[in-house]
Amino acid sequence: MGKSVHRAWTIATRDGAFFAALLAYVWAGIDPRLIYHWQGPVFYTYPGFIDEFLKYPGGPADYLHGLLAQTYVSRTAGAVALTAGLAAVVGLTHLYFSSIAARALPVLRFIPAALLLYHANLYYDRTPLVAVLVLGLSSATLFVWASRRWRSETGLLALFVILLLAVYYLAGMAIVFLATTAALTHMLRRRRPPLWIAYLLLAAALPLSLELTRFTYMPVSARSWFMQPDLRLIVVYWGLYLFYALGTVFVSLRAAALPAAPGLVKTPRMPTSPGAAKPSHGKRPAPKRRTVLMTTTLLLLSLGCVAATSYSLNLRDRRLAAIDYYSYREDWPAVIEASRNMASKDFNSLSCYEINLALHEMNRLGDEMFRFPQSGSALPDLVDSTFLPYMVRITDMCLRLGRVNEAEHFGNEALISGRRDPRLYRLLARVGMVKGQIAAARKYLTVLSYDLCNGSWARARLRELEQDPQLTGDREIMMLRRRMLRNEDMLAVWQSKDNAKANMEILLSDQLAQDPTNRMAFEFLMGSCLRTGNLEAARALMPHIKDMTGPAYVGPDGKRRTPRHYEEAMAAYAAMSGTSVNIEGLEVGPETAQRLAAFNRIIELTPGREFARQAAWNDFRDSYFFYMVFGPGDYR
Amino acid sequence: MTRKSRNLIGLMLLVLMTLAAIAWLLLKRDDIGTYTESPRPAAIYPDYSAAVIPPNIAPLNLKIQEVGQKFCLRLSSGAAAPSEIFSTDGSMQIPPVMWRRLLDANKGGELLMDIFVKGDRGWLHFDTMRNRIAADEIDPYVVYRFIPPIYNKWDRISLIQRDLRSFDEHALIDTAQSTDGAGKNAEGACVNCHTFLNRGTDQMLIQMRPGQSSQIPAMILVREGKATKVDTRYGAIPPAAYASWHPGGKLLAFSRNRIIEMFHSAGAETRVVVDRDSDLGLYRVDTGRAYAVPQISRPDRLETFPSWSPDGRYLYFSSARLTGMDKKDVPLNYDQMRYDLERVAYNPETDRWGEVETVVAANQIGKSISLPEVSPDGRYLLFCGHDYGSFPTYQPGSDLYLLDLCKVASEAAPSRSRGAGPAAGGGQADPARLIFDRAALRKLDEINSDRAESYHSWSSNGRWIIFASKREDGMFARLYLAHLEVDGSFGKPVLMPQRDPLFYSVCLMTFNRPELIRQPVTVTAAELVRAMNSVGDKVTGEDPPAGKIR
Repeated sequence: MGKSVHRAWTIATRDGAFFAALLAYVWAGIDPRLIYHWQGPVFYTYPGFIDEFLKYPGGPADYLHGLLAQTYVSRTAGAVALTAGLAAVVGLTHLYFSSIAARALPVLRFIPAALLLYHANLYYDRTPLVAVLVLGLSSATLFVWASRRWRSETGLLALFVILLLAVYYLAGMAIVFLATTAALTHMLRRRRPPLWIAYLLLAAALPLSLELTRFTYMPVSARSWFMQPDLRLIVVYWGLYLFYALGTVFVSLRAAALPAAPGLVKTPRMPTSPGAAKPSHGKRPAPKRRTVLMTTTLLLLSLGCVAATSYSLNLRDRRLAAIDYYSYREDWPAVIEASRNMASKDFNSLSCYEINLALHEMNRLGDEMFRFPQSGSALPDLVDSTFLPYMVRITDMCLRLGRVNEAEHFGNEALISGRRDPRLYRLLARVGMVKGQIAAARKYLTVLSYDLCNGSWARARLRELEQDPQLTGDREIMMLRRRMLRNEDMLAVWQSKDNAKANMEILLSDQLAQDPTNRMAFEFLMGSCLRTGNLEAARALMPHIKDMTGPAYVGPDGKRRTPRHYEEAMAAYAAMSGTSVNIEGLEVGPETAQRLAAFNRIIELTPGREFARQAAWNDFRDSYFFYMVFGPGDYR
Repeated sequence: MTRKSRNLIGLMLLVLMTLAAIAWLLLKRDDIGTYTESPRPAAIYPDYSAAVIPPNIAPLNLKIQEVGQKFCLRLSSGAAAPSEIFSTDGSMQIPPVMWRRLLDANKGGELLMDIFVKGDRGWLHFDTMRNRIAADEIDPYVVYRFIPPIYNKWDRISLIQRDLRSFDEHALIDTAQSTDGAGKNAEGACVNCHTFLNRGTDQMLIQMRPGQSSQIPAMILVREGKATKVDTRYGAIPPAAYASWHPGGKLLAFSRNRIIEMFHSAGAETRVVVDRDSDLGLYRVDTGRAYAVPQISRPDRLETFPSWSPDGRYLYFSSARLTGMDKKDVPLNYDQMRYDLERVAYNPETDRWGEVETVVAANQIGKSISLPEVSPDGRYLLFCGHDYGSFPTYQPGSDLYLLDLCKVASEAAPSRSRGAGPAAGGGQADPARLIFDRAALRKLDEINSDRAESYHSWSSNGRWIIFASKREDGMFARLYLAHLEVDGSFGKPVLMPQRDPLFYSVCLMTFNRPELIRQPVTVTAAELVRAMNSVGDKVTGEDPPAGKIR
């Protein structure tokens, strides 16, 4: 009694250490919120939503995954749910191998958890692997259990067919695990010719025949269980297949080398080794403390290796996802923080825009934008993309700018590729509110009210609409209505003969004309001029500064101020054009003029571009002067 | 009796008692008894009040949107005993048998709907809602497109057949899910503008737009269950789009449209579709020959939306003057193009065409005219009037108009150019104009809303129309049924009912292009997809002599 308690305790300690480390990595290294943000798992509670998942094989697992993935919206809850899922897989793996032979693979059973951890670290793949494994392993265990007790081949085959149909319907891909198990256990234990082939053939025939006849709708072909365009997914999928197949062979062969366990129906076996006389069931000696310590250390080290590998392999995706996530959450300091350790080459047009947006929202764009990499265009292109986060972002960008119709356009386009994503419904509901199309807004909100994560937000908005149908008391909506374009510029912006893309300069100028206080339009337009070195255009925009409000334009003492980069640009313009820049009272301050003079001195006196760059680096790398001379780069 | 047996019997009794309790709870009927009157109508969704309903329509399930603990809907008509439905959440799903019995026995009568809501102070009765059960049945089936709001992209287009007498529906084709015999689907393709010969299903047509480079735009012609793909492109000439069967079944009129879709940056509606160019053409089904006639492919005009009169002696269509735009460029004056409603006489016996007549000029109603549809008895012409162009569904101002053709006469001589704007001017003589008194043409205020109405279809008895309307929210089109009264007015439209009363409140898809038909479609989805994926028969024919689309 005491020994078995001790054994259970030591195993629990080892497992606990492993899962605690796993939980810590999932929480800190993966951050389930980023999975939620990247994948956008959809789950609604309105009647009829489940119907679509019941129509196709694997639908119930997708439905379950959609439900469980809702926990990912919270870092802690998501980490716990993900770890619990992995723990369930590890537990079932243990149960499965134990059903073949006791004490089977006590340490190696953690391998699937490592593979699933790597899979989670990829962020984007929505395949419900945990649900698939849980169901596949449960059915495989049941089959192994039955195969050790039933003599009838027909009965076993019937059980297999029933399990196959049930498992295929519930979790599609799970039949790979069931069929492999069935075939291998049959081949290794019974050795009757050649019925094991029947198991494999039946399992292959089921999805194949349904796909060929299209008896039922199948959103994903069974081919994708084996062939993926992404090598990393192939590693995960085939890693799991091979682990269970080889594990089954290994455990079965080892069990065959041992004498029969008491209480089991005897089945034809391989000849047993005379030396292997230990019963596989019954009381086992408690493992030695040193052994436990070693296996625990080994496990944790292995986990650390997997975590480190997957973290480093997916670091760029993680950082981009984090920037996008914090940007969506409007946590602007976190956006800047997330970009801190990102290499310059890893920035893309979306992340550049998001960092500029964060600076803009923190009233720092005019002062600090050239500290950050400024490559590509000022705003992400307004084009259709199958990458959902991009579409969410440009929809949001259009709405912020007051390009409400474009927001509606791209939001609806995004719905085609990211069907029923609650973020899009939120944006489209706001589009309806801004446009005064309250009935349309209500429709999106009604659907959203059935979403587990956004339901309370949607219901609150619906209540607001009840009390104030035109939302005249909503400051944000009223601000966006003020920004909303009223004079059509479709042809000017969109129908350029030479360019299929939108003309962003005209687009921003029209927004500024619509609402001269539109700080976002002004700052991004100004930013665009400065990035391209068009100081003439920047000069023409300077009078708009007087319409701008906020800490960027009013100092703590209440006096008007000009953001640093704009002042630097005007100083440079004055120096290059040989004129004094005095725009409706805005002058280049003496400090800026002195800095320009100092910068020019360094450039003139230092021979060679690279030496000049190094000489100016410390004092001027975050200035517009530096950007003008040395071009776009990472000047953090 | 052993202990095991006693346990078993006890367990069985427990199960029976539980089942009995559940059955009692389910079957338990509330008795309304006394109630207080509330002098207002109850809030319900959809609005099924003061409407005229087809006697063969599916139950008008509805949601009572009042606060209460229990809800009751009492249905009564004529001398029959009233029927009551109870619910705890206000969702009223009327048993089909009860509904059918009630309607069958009371055709032409009144359907009374009494709503009771039980609150803290007992039952409350709201004003009785009255609907009229028409004596005329509507065609039992409707085929419509079920699509997401489409901008540039689409992933899945469904053509749904709904039995209006029940809630049964099935996809005639779903471009993502339907497959041919080899398991290949028509993914990426768009199906549109389905057209049935004389509201039957022996002969029908579906237009297909490609979604992949391997596909081509084509007509899918269905005759007696067999589908054929017809490649209607002719050189650089665009393929067929809107089509209409001649009632004889051997001739098909179609339009060829070179369209451009743009997106408004301001205003309520985001999308706009403009014809850069369009003509009408004809297709002989038996010979596979496509050809044009000069009257309906004039070089100086855009012609579109062909629609045959039921006797096959007139082809109605929309037409606007082509305003010299650069066809490679954007039509800068797209919002000033207004289409007239015209027709051309046709003699099916001699295959000869008459001269074009203007039925209604755009400037007569100050609207651009599209989608003409003559009622099966030839008496009425129903069309859309909207601010500009030829795409009513994207214009909130699109309304339905009705012209009484019995009150129309031909003008003796052709008029010269008329009106102002781009439709005016030009050197050619304008077609003869039909004359009618003011009462003959009417905007259908009784069924129009302040949002887009479009895509109407007549029932084969000419007493019902079905049309798409965005009246609910301006975004998603829904199908409405309206009854034509003897005096030429329409009853209040009824939203096509759904089994779940809240279906429309969470449905973010749009219904459009409804076509009423008398019998179910027999061609299978597999056959349609097979035809769509086939190479297709190229039309034979000649260069359209007077056609301008090159």
